Amino acid sequence: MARKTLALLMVAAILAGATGSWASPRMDKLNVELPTSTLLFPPGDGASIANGQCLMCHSVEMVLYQPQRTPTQWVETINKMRTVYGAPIPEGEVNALAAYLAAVIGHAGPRPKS
Amino acid sequence: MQRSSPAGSALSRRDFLGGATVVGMSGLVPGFVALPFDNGSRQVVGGFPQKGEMILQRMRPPLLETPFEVFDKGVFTPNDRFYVRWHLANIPTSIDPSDFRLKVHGVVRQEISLSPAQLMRDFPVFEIAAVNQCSGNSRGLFAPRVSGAQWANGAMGNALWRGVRLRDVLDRAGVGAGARQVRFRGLDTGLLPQTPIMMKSLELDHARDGEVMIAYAMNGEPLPMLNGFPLRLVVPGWYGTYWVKALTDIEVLGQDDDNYWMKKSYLIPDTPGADITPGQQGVKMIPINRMVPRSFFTNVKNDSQVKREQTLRGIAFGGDTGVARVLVSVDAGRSWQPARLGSDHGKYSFRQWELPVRFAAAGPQELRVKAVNTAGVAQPERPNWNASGFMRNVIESVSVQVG
Repeated sequence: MARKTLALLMVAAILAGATGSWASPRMDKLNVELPTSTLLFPPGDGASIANGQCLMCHSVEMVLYQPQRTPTQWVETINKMRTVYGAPIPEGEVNALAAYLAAVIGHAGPRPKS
Repeated sequence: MQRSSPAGSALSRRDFLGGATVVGMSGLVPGFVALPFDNGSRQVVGGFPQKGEMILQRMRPPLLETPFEVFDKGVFTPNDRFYVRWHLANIPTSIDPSDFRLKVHGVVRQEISLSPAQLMRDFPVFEIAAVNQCSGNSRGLFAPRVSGAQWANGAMGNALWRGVRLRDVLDRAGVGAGARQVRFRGLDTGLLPQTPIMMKSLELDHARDGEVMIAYAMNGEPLPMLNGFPLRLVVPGWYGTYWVKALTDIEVLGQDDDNYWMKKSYLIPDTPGADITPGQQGVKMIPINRMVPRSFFTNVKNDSQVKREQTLRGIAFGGDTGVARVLVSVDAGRSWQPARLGSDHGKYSFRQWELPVRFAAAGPQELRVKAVNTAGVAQPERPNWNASGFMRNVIESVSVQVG
């Protein structure tokens, strides 16, 4: 009897698999807590603009990890942040911010060995 | 890419990253990795929810890269090591699936609103193995360098996705006459009112091709919050930008989508391999779309020591179709040998490969690997270039010491 029950259960399991009725993952309520970044921009003329204007939407790391870029290239990025994303960076601060970023970002020395 | 201590050079030169500022995540002691390009030092951190150790590209919103050694461990990328990429400031952190709804509206006969439970109960189950790869995977390796997330090769992963076909859901709502595209939106939003909401669109025929799907499970588990819990669009063979996370809104459009994320962002030059000369002007730009083939070594890396007799192994994928063959060179590309391919999990999956090799001599040697897909497309010998750093798929090479 027990053997017969087991056999039936196995057949049921195979059929369930074949028809695609799959034990879906239980989807419970999910709460997560994200780590926060306390990092600020490195000191220098313009750091206060960067800390005041850039960190509301994103933390600092990806900016620090950019390659070395010219002030003109940074102006392009800053203006994209202003015009596309609505960053409230006053026009009068764009050049100072670009000069600061060009001066501090991407000067990390020689290429590391991997 | 080896985890290494921050001893010496790159990090200590940048004082602002040194000492206590490394914390950022209170109480955690990060490791470090040197990605193979200038300014490539990164923290390797735990502490993100449902994630193991990941390469930190940005804390908020999170950009987390998969450490490359993970790809040596299996053909599927574990959920807790799967890369993470969010654009906008407000990302979901608390979701009750019983309250969550996916709305389908626009050019349809009848608007519908579905809970995850209804999707699981009322539609046929569909399952597919597929690689999700960021459009900008490997951007840090572009020369000349371009701005954007400075990923090495770990902004990709392969998973077994389980859910329902998008076609079945669209048909439940009934696609109306004059429908052209289907637009997808997730729960993430910007902080500033002007920030464009992230939305992506597919042509109607693509959306209804029976492969594009809405996943509620990834490798047999609910999706991690950071990978799109509770529902995510899966677009096999296409770049990750289309795989909208925390998918909550599907709109059938009667015209082509002109939203920022389709018309201004994620564009590539309409040239073979999305390749142009730096500074080239007047190029027609189109939305990024199908992936291209790639292959990697996973058990040898630059500067590693290898034995005279050694089995090389790695992973490959064909892009928008399967892998036909993987070829390996142990003499800097002068001759190529076909590798043995591992189990076939479907044409959109990673495919493992391996090849026992015998080096003719000790000393420095350059190894190369290239994939050819079933459409006959091979990885190029020369890297592509475009201003956004998209679609890199050059033949990979590693320099080793044969001992």
